[in-house]
Amino acid sequence: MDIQLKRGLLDVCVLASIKYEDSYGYKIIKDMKPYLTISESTLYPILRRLETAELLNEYSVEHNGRLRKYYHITQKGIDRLDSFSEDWEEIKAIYHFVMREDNSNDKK
Amino acid sequence: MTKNEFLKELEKKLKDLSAADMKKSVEFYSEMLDDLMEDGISEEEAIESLGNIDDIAQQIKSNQSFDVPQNTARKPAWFNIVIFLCAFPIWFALVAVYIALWAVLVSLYIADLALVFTGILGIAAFPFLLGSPASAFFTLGEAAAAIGLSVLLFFGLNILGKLYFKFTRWLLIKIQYFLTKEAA
Repeated sequence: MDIQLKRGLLDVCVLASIKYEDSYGYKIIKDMKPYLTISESTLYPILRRLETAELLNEYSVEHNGRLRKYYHITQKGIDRLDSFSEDWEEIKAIYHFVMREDNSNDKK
Repeated sequence: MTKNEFLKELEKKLKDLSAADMKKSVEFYSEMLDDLMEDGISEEEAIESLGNIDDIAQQIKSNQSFDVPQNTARKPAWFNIVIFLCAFPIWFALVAVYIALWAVLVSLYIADLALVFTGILGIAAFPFLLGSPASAFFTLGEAAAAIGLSVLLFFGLNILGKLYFKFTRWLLIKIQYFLTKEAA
């Protein structure tokens, strides 16, 4: 996918991956893989940004004698996902505009 | 490279971040490597899969600059403030030097302006000097040289001025950091 287009979708996809269940970095990357490939170094700044914007918060859980950081979506994060469905309507309209057939010859 | 070596290296590359930000970044990558290895990937391969360490550090740092203002709550460091006040005789002299540096810059700008005037006057005087063509053209040449020089000087001074501003900002941030400490 076009990198600019992808960039705009990453934040939403990261939020979507913790929508129903808290998750941790490695799992988020794995869960997103079928849809969008994201590297660790890309994920980290996104998580920090979403945390700063209070769309998610984090907590640590012990796992195999080490700490694993889990991310939990906030109400604000859920609102962000809801607003994505509104964005989507606009994107669909744009898609139809981009893909429309040439009808200008029919009128002649 | 082992995981510990990788994290040490990353830490080194992130040393201009705040301690909290650096710790957080290193922890993230430490967890990521542990998870990769738990998934059956060898230590070496796991580190390789993260990509170039300079790119990683760069990505962390470039993003950091966005949220620095929000998440670095600071509070006064009273001990340092006392030291700062006691050192008054020392830095007061430096303040004088600092002001003098600005004064030099301002006076150079004024000199530059004078040079422009010289040039304009020289050109304006040209028709009146035609009685003796040699001196008229000489004056015209001088005027052109003065204007050319003033343009060059102007750009040079602008660069110098920018450096002054940069230096001032850097200094103010340093002082601010000296007088405060992280709230967390």
